[in-house]
Amino acid sequence: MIRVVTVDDSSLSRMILKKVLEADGDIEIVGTASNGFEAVPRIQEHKPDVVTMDIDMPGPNGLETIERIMHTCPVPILVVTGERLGPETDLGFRAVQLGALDFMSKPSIADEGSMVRLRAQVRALAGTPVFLHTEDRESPSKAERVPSLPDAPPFSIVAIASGTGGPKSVATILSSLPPNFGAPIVIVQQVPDRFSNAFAKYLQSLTPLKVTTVDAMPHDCVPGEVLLPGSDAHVYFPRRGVVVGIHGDPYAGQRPSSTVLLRSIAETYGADSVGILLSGTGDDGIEGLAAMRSTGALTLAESPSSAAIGDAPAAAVKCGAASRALPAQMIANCLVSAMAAMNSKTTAPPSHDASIASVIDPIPTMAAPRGRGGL
Amino acid sequence: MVSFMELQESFRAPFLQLAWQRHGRIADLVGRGDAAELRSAASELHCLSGEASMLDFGVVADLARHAEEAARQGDRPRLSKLIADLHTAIEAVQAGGQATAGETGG
Repeated sequence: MIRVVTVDDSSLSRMILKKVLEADGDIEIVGTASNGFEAVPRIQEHKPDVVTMDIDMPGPNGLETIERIMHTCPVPILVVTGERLGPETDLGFRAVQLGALDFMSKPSIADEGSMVRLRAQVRALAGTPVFLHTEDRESPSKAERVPSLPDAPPFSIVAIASGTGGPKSVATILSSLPPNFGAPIVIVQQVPDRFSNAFAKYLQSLTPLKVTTVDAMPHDCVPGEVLLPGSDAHVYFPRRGVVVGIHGDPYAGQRPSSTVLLRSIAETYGADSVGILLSGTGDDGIEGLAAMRSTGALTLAESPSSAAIGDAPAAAVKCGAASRALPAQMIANCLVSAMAAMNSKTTAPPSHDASIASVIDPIPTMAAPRGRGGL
Repeated sequence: MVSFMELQESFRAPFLQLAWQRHGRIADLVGRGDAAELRSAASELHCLSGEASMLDFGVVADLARHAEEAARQGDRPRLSKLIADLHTAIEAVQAGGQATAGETGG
């Protein structure tokens, strides 16, 4: 039985959530809190597998309450809140930044799918290891630079695949990159389509780099540009430096698909690229990361022990798709360090100068699966 | 498996009890009306909208959302009109025959 504590200031919302969550018989609401003050003692009393958290509450709001919980009695938190999460705001991503694992809108009893998704997400998050939020848990500081070595393979694009719990890691990496970062960064973050604009807005608030949403028109990407999928579309590189959004079929159930992106990068950039797979639960992106590694590209996974959800990165390391697992901050430090080394070379073109591959201990390359067909 | 109609019906009474309480507080706050009270009214309207939305009482949800916007903008004439419309919409839910998505007003 999955044990849940619900935090919501509306007594009616708590009643409805109880009805929805307990419908299949494998989830039990063991406690409720009507405000942020009550939340911590309820969690300490019941030690639930998951907490559902509203955001808009009197007193300490949901964001403040999440922060308090993660500093005192960490537990998997799923934000379940109202309409203001929509495209206009980035509250959901702020919540993840503070330690929530994921967010979704409150279900409607008229929408069976919304109730099924809520129960499925509670099951997925139950038992996810979460840690007390302190400053030093496998979180190297921005000042902790990784030395870069010369005469090693270069990179001219960075591709990031991110799933549940990943927005915080994406934020860590992007907020560490300098304004003159010399390569485009393309990111597929699995979020409900209605939150894609909010995600772009959230990222833009964290970085001086320009955040661009890719649409159906071919786009010439430039160094230092952060590229995100458009609404409900794959991101695809038909050739180097050109990216386009494609409304093709979902790939392995995902659109945008991280694997579609990473395979595209493998085919167009080959070894001249870095692939990164962050927190997540499923296998989206692992096959694409393996394709990148088979070309000689550097492929990194977020350290499972530091990721919000380590399942996907652990799987990527286990199957050999990722050459190494590092905490998100260390991944950022590697990118910054390598780019600084590239910029310090003035005589050779940037694409022949520096590497981050040689600053880490690689796992031996395995025969990476070529995977299923493309688009 | 409980049907949508059964679910909605099971929550109709508690929804109405809460909706009337909120509507009374909202009307009172707007009547007194400084900026802080409008913010409190907006918060009540946000909750009402969310509760109605979960139960698919679409007219109430939409009117409450529009009223919340009006309260946050300090648009008192529009807010007063929307609060009156909300009263009617809650009465309709009480009558038991309306207020699902697709019949939205506002």
